[in-house]
Amino acid sequence: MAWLSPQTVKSALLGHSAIGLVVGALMYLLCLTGTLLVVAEYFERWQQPLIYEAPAFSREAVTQAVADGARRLNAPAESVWAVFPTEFLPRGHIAVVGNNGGEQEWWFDSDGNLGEPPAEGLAHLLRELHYYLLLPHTWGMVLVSALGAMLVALILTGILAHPKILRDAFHLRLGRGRRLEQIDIHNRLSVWGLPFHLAIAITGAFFGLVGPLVLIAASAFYDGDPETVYADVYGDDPVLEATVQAPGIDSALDWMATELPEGDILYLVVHHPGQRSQFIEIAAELPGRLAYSEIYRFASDGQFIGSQGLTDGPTGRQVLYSVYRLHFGHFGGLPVRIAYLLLGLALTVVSVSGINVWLAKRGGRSRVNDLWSGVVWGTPFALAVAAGISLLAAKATIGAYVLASILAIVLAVRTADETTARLRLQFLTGATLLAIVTGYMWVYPMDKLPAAVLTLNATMLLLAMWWLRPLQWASRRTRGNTACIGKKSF
Amino acid sequence: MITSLAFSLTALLAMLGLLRVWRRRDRVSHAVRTGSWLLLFGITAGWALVEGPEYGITFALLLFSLVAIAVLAATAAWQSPAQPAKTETSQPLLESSGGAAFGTFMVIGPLAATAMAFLSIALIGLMPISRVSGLAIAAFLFPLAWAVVATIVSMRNRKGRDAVVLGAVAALSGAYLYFPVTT
Repeated sequence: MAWLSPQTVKSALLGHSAIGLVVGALMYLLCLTGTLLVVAEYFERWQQPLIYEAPAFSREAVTQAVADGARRLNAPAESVWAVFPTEFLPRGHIAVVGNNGGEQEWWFDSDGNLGEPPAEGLAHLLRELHYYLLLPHTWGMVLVSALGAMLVALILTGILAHPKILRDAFHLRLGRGRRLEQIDIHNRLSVWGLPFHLAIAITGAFFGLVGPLVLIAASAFYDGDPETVYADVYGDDPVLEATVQAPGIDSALDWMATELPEGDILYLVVHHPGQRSQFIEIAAELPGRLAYSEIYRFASDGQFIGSQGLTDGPTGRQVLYSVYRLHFGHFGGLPVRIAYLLLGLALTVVSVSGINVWLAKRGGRSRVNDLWSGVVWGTPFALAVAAGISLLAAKATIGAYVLASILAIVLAVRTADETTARLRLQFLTGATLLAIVTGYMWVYPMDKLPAAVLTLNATMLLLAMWWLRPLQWASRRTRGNTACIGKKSF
Repeated sequence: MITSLAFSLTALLAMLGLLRVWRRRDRVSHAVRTGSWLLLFGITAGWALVEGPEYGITFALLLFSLVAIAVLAATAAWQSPAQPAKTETSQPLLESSGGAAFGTFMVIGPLAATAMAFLSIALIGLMPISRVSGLAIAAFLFPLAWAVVATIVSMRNRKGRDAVVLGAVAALSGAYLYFPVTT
């Protein structure tokens, strides 16, 4: 990019720094939680490890669970959802939405008996953080999506600010001074992760920013009714009138098995159960398609009405319905999940190293260094504390996370040395993880735990051992005697 | 499985080829570079044929990123911290922080968002496509346009002039949407 003038490059670098500083800490939080959410189902299974699991449920079980779910809500139901097992969450669960918007959920077993409700534990915290930053949902989602747009801006300014970024694409120098190392890590991961970063940024920006757009479009083209906009884009619900009867779930599932054997059913919904307007929807994932699902509609008696056109309707509709899977890596099975985990981790490192570069360039140190250390290393600590608390009192998970985050930042600021603060927080995180895994394996019989849960525990144990490794402490103690301890951090 | 393994090994080969000749200018290097890019392109096309374009292209891009980062990590020029590191010069806080750009971004960022939101929706009315496709385009155009404008604004660092321009864009787009000229 030799055509860029030095002034343009300098301006781009200033813009890159400015945007990076505005969004730095929040971007890190989003990247880290997003990375963990790639395996959100594993956290759900870890939270409640003894729930009945099976790769498929009989239609009798589903019918029974749907009927039982509708009965349990002591009010007219708007809809009853039966969520089918998947490769990553081989459990069935029922969700009942009341006319007043209230919602209740239960797992169900092989006979369709409703069991425990899904716990709002660690996976819930990760979603609340990644989708809304723990803010009220409407504003939180807009802010998170604005950060997605800013990630796009960071990518653009990053490319403009580094004319040699492509030329140096294979040039990684480690151990040659903190600033040089951080710059190389930041630039190399950025350039090779570029397609992934752009996809994540653009799709992430879409989720929340589409809300304000819909409001503008509604006021301009749809007489101010946002629901009409959504109906136009995603397709409208059918309006039916029929005699009241038990929903024809059997017939609907028969149609799916005959006409769409390759479709992987995600969920089944009975809308307006027990009313004349009752109808059934079945969402199925289609092979090779990024669209979240196609939705097939059935009349009250289970007769096929039509599909919503999410995979064969207008191109715009298909594109919009493909955003979710592309953003969260929910396609292509385990290899894609692992790829998203690794590349998500790389993006997290990019977000941290960007601020590290700025701190190193700035020279000297101030309270900002301590705050940043507290944020970077306090977040895993807070998540570990929240994970532990979630097992004891799921409802207290978010509170525990917030409190632990504050404590971590206070600890880092009071320590006033980012290396020591990092070591302390890593030690605390490691100790917390070790306590959690030890307690977990003590409470739950190992032979009854699914492989996913064991994998998660093993990962936590490895992390704990890494952060508690005596070697790290011994070497740091030695290095702590030297005067330049503050130079190496994060 | 075998297909994925074959594509992965080919991608590794191509990436090693690129690594070997990345900054070289001789004829052999040029040939290796071209061959490596062709291999990567071939993997993308092949995977798209096997898995369909949506999965295939996505799989290929994910694989290339991962393989490149793995190659990079494996071949990083590591130097022991015990050896003398390159001297690092510190810059004063204000010079390196982009304090003014920070302020500009904070002030103009929300205005840019408003202007681009109105402009994205207004463009739907101007484009000869269906309303659904227009809304889909606007849904992606808005964050992209906002990002581009935020980039330009934070680089130019001219708060007043940019505020006027963005205000005008918002006003004109709003006028087009809410006070359409009928003939």
